[in-house]
Amino acid sequence: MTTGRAARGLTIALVALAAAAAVRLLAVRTLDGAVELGFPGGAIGDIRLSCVLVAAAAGGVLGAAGWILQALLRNPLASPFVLGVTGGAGTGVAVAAVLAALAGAAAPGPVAMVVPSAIGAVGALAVVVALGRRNGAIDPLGLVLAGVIVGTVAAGLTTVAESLLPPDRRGLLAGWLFGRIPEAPDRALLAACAAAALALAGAGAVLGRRLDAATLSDDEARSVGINLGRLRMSLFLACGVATAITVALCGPVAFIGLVAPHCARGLVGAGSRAGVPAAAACGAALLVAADALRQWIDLGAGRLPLGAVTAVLGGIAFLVLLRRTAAGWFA
Amino acid sequence: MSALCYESPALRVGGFAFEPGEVRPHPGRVTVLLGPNGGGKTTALRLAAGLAVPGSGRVALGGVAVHAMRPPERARAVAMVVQRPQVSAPFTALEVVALGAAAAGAGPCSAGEALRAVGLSGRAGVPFAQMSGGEQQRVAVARAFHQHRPGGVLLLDEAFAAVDPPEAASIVAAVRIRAAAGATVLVATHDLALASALADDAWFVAGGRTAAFGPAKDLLAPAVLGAFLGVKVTAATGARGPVAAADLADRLQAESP
Repeated sequence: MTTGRAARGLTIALVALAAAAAVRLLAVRTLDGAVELGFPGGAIGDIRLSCVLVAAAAGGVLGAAGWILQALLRNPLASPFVLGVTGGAGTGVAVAAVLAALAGAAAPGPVAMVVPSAIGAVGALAVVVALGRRNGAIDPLGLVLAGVIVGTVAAGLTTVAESLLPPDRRGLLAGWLFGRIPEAPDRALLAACAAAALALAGAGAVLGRRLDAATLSDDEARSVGINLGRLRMSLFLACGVATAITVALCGPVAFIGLVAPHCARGLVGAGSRAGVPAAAACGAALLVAADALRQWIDLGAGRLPLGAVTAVLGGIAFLVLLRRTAAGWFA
Repeated sequence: MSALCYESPALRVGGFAFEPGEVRPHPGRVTVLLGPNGGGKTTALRLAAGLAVPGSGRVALGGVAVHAMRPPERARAVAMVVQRPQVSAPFTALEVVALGAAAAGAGPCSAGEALRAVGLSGRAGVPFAQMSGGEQQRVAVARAFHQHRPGGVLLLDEAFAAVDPPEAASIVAAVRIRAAAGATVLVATHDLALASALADDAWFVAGGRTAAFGPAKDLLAPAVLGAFLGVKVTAATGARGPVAAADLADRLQAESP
């Protein structure tokens, strides 16, 4: 019975992704307000195609990582952004940029950013998980509070680092720090991000039953045979590194990792085996859709940055989830 | 079936020391743990489940230290119901029962049969979070039944505390069936009537030490039980023998203003 629902839900998520991609590829509002249909080909077609690929890969990582973190941390409000993981990754990149400038080296390229990004991401997650524990057990609310604090401190540190940069190097970082889809992404980084999305979705499908059991209390999870320490450590690392790759590619994109798992749960149910791949598909669809939506909104100062779209829509979704699910999750 | 043996494990948590000495609960029999709050009943069960690692000594199952077994292997040998079951995801009752097989595979009792054994087959599709405390405890018992293999160890920590008498009776019957099939069953409880209905043996634990271990017919006799618990205990005659109950009248009189 559940496999039928899972297959149906996954299909719906993939159709939504295809629809969002079609809109982004084929329909655009031009600067004078006219709607232009059709695929242009050439350089512009390449740009649209790479935007779809980047958004799908990054959204896939964030959606899958969001589901995995929500299960491991027993918290429906967990996501890479809410837990300060994307913020930490941003700080890692900004600090690396400052160090490179101080050393007189060239600004780090997109691939070189992955390492400091990963250090920042995993470091932030380690601090948040450590702060969010009480009496050895994870405290759901304390965890989110710790994530907000760490995220805010990370944003502050990033701003400090940014102001330490020589003026000619600031521009690049400033656009990137609010989340954006690069029109000419580094191919290797894009491939790494796509691989990370597939790897997380695959890990979820393989480890899904264990991930489900990890939502029991510590003693219960261990008594049904879960090696909790190892499961948490390996998946935290995987989520941290995968998120770091998306941050190096797109900057810290807000709330996709929070909203996508809840969409996926609505489609396939609470089981992680289908849930993690579905969350990846939903995250991909949401980010491609947000990028497509952005092309249609011009408030007079050019197109809105992607980060603004996901932050506003995702923030509203966060508040709705806070009211709705907090009541139903904690028995 | 392999025998469970407390080989003088010693565990210190904060200021509390648990040192029960050597205790061998019998396979095929239900051992009921009785004693005051904070006396060590839960610690005794956590040690047998491999959830706590003793500083010295060990709890062994078939000659192997439980805490050193690989988690899935241990889960096939020992199933446990904790005092307050928790599930932090929107699973249904049946899905929660199925989690018993998440890492170790299922025993011979299917998830549906396990849910029927605790009288909840009609509630299989209800979200766990929306169930009452008693129902959640029964779901946790069903999960342990689903995980349990004949001849294995079954640990129940206050698993009946919020369960109504008729349902408690059917769970008692289901537990006894498993004991008869060779399971080593340990039940921690405060409920003397339940203890009378369930126990083959009794294990008195207080202050982290074993006060007594022996056949229930001796230890649950009103005079012996009353002396251990420090209250007057009476016994009514039930179908399976005497049913103990604490008679609190003296206490109430002594403590009334």
